[in-house]
This record gives sequence, structure tokens and C-alpha cells, in this order.
Amino acid sequence: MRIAAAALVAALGVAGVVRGHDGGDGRYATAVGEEVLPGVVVAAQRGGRYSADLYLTAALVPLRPLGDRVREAVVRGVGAAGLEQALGPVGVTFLSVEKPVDHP
Amino acid sequence: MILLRAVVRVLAFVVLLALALAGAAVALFSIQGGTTGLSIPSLAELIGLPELGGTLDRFLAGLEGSGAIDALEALAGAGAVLLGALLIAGAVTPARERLLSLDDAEEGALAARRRPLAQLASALAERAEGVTAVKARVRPGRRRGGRVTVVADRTRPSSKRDVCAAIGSALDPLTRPFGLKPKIKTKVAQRGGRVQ
Repeated sequence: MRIAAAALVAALGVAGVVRGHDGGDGRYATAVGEEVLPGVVVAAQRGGRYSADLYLTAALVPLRPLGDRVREAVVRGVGAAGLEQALGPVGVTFLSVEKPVDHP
Repeated sequence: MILLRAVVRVLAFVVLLALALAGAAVALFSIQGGTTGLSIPSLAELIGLPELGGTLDRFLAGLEGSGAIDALEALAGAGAVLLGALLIAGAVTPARERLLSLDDAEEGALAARRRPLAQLASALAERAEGVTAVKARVRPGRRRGGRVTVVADRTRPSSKRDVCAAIGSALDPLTRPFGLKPKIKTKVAQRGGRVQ
């Protein structure tokens, strides 16, 4: 699933995103061959498109703007991979936040 | 489904507890031999097992008989099957994630689990003046939004009203976009709390 890989790479490139989160039991992951991409689920939609849902661990930052930035980055990243025609809705869910080490 | 899962958990706990108690009782009563006093035969007698066995035998014989099935028995059987099916469904159905929705637009949804939001609420509230420690909890609403409950320790000289106002302002970047209603409680910090 090239969309899953492109979407996850794009999301992880956004400042404030720490890593993909597989939900704790692997429910939010996509297997690409032997590789497993934690934190991304791609599903077929009507009209030959695919939705991409990202499940992320974020840094301690405002989540609303971060979510918007992730969505934009995913659309850009998937577009750069030449798959923009196949991309449907992009969902972003924050499953955990990671506090900085020096946080009290 | 949440209720069913809770029922299954409570039932499992009760059954395990009953098993443990029964095991302990059997072990205790087995120490003594004979048929009187503290022994297995007298325990069975005590809890009416022979009578129960006789009653059950008669009940099963009645069920197996050629006559018409009693409506009450049929209903009880159907109820037991239904209860069993519901309990199995409660046990094996995966729990639905309770997420707080930020945006449910056609181009994709934006949501978060309760825990990161509670962590964010704690981090934000800890910045408020006069606060030494914070515990936060987020409960999603039925459709949208929800409630964030913050319990904060404050320094002795700070006033409750000022600290509540400061926490309310500090939480604003979280409560506004997520449609969360803040509920803020404060108490004077005990000794050993973080000094701000």
C-alpha cells in the first residue's frame, strides 16, 4: 500500500508528531509486505479512492493546529508520490502525547 | 456494549471469588474425615445438596417426559440461552474507542483519545499561577464535546477564585477547539507539593 507508506512518512515529517501509534494491540497498523506500518490504516472508498487514517503520538503541543498540519502534509506527501487521485478523506487521531523529559 | 462488558467483568469476578471460597471451604472440611461434624458429607448435608440433587432429578425427568413443555420452563431456557449469548457477545466484542471529535469534515476526521487530552489539560493547568499539582480527566459527550475535570493543588497564599480563573484561561487552547466544558476544583497543597 503505497498510500499508507506515503501518508505515514508525510505525517511523521510534521514537527510535533512523535511517532505512529498502533493502538496498543496492532489494530491501527498496515502490513506492507513483511513490513508493518504502525499508525496508519488505509481503506477503500467509493469511486476508487482510499481513505488514510493516521493514529499518532504527538508532542505536548496544541493538537488542533497539529492535526490540520498533518492533514495538509499527508495530502502533499501522497500527491508527491503521484497518488493524489487515489487519496480520499484523511483522518487524524491522537492516541497519546509525549511529555518532554524536563517536564515537571 | 459497555454495560455488557462491565456485567461480564463483575460476573467473572464474582464467579472466581465464589470458586475460591468454595475451594477453601472444601479444603477446610476435607481435613476432617467421617460423616459427621466438619466433613464433606456433613457440608453437603448442610447446604442441602441431597435435596437439591433430588429436586434437579425430578425437574430433568419432567423435562424429558413425553408431556407438553411447561411455558415457564421454556421461557427460562430461552432466557438462559439469551443471557449466555449476551455474555459471550460482551466478552468477545472489542471495546469501542471513546474518542473526542474535533472535526468531522468530508475531507477527514480529526479526533483524540481522552488520555492525551487529559495530559494536555494537566500540562496547561500546571502553568497557571499558584498551582502546584494537577490531575485532569476528560469525559467525551454523547455527540460532540465533553467535560474536562481538573483537580489542582494550590499554594496557601493564593485564592481559590484566582487560581480557578487562571486554570480556566490556561485550559482555553484545549477546551475551545474540542468543545470541552471545564470543571475546576482546587485545594490547598499538602506539604511536599511542588513549589512554584
